[in-house]
Amino acid sequence: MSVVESLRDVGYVFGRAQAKFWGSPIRIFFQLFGALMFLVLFTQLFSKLSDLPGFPTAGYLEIAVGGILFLNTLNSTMQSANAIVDELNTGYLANILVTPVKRSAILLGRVLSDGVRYACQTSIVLGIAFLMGATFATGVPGVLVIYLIVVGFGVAWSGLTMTVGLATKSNETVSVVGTLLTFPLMFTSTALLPVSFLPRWMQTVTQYNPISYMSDAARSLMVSGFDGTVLLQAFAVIGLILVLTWSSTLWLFRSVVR
Amino acid sequence: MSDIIVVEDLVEVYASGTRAIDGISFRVPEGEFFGFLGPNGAGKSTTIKVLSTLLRKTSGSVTIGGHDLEQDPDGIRRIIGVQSQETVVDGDLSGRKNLLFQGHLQRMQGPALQSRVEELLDLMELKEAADRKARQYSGGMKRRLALAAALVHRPRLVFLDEPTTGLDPQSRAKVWGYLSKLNKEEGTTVFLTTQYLEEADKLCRELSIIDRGKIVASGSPADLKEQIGGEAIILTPDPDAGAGAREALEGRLRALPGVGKVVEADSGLVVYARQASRLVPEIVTLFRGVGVRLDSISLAAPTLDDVFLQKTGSRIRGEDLTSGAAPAPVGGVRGGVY
Ligand SMILES: Nc1ncnc2c1ncn2[C@@H]1O[C@H](COP(=O)(O)OP(=O)(O)OP(=O)(O)O)[C@@H](O)[C@H]1O
Ligand SMILES: [Mg+2]
Repeated sequence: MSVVESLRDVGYVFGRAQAKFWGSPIRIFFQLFGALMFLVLFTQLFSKLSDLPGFPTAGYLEIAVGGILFLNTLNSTMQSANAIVDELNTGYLANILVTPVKRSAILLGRVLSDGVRYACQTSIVLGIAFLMGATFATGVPGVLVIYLIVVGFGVAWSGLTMTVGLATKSNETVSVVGTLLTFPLMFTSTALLPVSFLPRWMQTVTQYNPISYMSDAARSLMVSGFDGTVLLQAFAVIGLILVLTWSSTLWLFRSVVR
Repeated sequence: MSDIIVVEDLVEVYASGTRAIDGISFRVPEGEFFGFLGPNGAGKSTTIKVLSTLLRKTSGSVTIGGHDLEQDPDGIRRIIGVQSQETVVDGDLSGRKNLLFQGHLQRMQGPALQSRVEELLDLMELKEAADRKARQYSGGMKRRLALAAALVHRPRLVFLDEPTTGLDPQSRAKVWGYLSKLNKEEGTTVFLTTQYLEEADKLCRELSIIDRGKIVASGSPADLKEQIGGEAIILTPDPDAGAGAREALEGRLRALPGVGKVVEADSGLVVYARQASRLVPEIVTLFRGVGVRLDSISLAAPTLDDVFLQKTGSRIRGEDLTSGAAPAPVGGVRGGVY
């Protein structure tokens, strides 16, 4: 009985978050527009790159897709934190907390809904890339693994933005920290260029940058094929981030909720 | 009837060190219409937050509907409804969806929930706006929606934190009517905080007056007025009269037969006395004797405001609204309310 109740609670919280998401078409439009803009800008900016000797045989489009997927996800995780900070500060969370709803469901329902959001963005980016002529070496199974990586990374990374949000109760701080992290993470990773095109010192840095592992995995699925080592590394990195960020989030959430 | 709320020696100290509740004890019998009356910062909202399981109490004991606050908060959550002081509704969702979601969280579903939601939309006159996003509602509509949300699951006990603040007089009268009905016909116990004395007087059968975290008086409105001892004589002495003269005045007023209390208020001096009208000639003579001009004199039946004045030394409205003692509430809704 209690399990059924818990699942129902998760469902209701999830349903509400989804209703809010789909209820604002403007936000979805901007996400579409943002993805299109980045794809066009990056491929135009770097279009001559693939003529250089040493560049992988695939065009830059396939390279860029991997990077843009995670740039979008990094931005999206800020919205996940913003939503909960807002609910905390407006007292909406208190409204929920005076009901017998399961405390875990409040977070779980949210996270599931965020996962759907990350998946939608992935569809948008991949869809536009497809229309622009990108090819997918691993076909449908590979695309499904790309979804898994993006959603997994998004959920893991949102633990970090949530930690910042719950600790400071300030959306400004979430935005500042999130944005400050996004750019260095993108530019010191292999997300936008193949590793051989980076200066030596940066090549070292990329090895410690989670975005590198994510975009390498996505790129390998698009360009070459299933590469067990690359995929395993990506999921290991996701797991590590997940454990670290969500233990602090849960700890902070418990102090807010009783 | 058994007591649905039993509070003993409750203390709440915020992390900042503020002692918002300073050892209060009270009981509310099931079916009661109970009011908590107090100025800004008295500790009304804090009390509701502790009783509704949101804030962890510092010490003392609380039992609600037989469920201990520490041992069984979920048991409490199942039987209470709460309307917080800050109006919170989900602006992205329609009014109807707001109520449905609230019902779901209270484990309601299906036709039972649906018909309850429609009933409440009707009652709160939100039917026409039910499918509009709550963001587009006026302040008063949001307030009524929040009240409806607190009632979806027909709670045995509702906590209403200043439910009529921000409503126009007609809406307020309607809410009063609805709350009385809820209490009388459905037997719901109501715990209401208010700054409107008229509201407390009209609705509440039992009242506690809280000031600076302590209960300073309790009883029915009639009892409390009775405690004042007679009627109020409101005197306006010459504002330029010296402090010495004023003190002499107060001393002599106190010595008059039948006089209970003499209180200094913004409006002048308030003398509480039995058979007040008979004292008027004596008071006039007394002023003449001390040599202070008497600008006006009037008589009034005691109100809860007088109870408040006597117990706390200040009027409930007026200075309290501008003293800035209360923290700015989150959400910003409060700011537009007065
Ligand atoms: N979150 C908080 N942290 C620290 N102090 C707080 C907090 N909330 C309230 N207080 C303090 O606790 C005291 C009681 O506040 P409370 O909100 O309970 O008053 P109230 O009677 O509801 O007042 P009002 O009529 O203005 O709503 C005040 O001194 C207030 O400054
Ligand atoms: Mg309050």
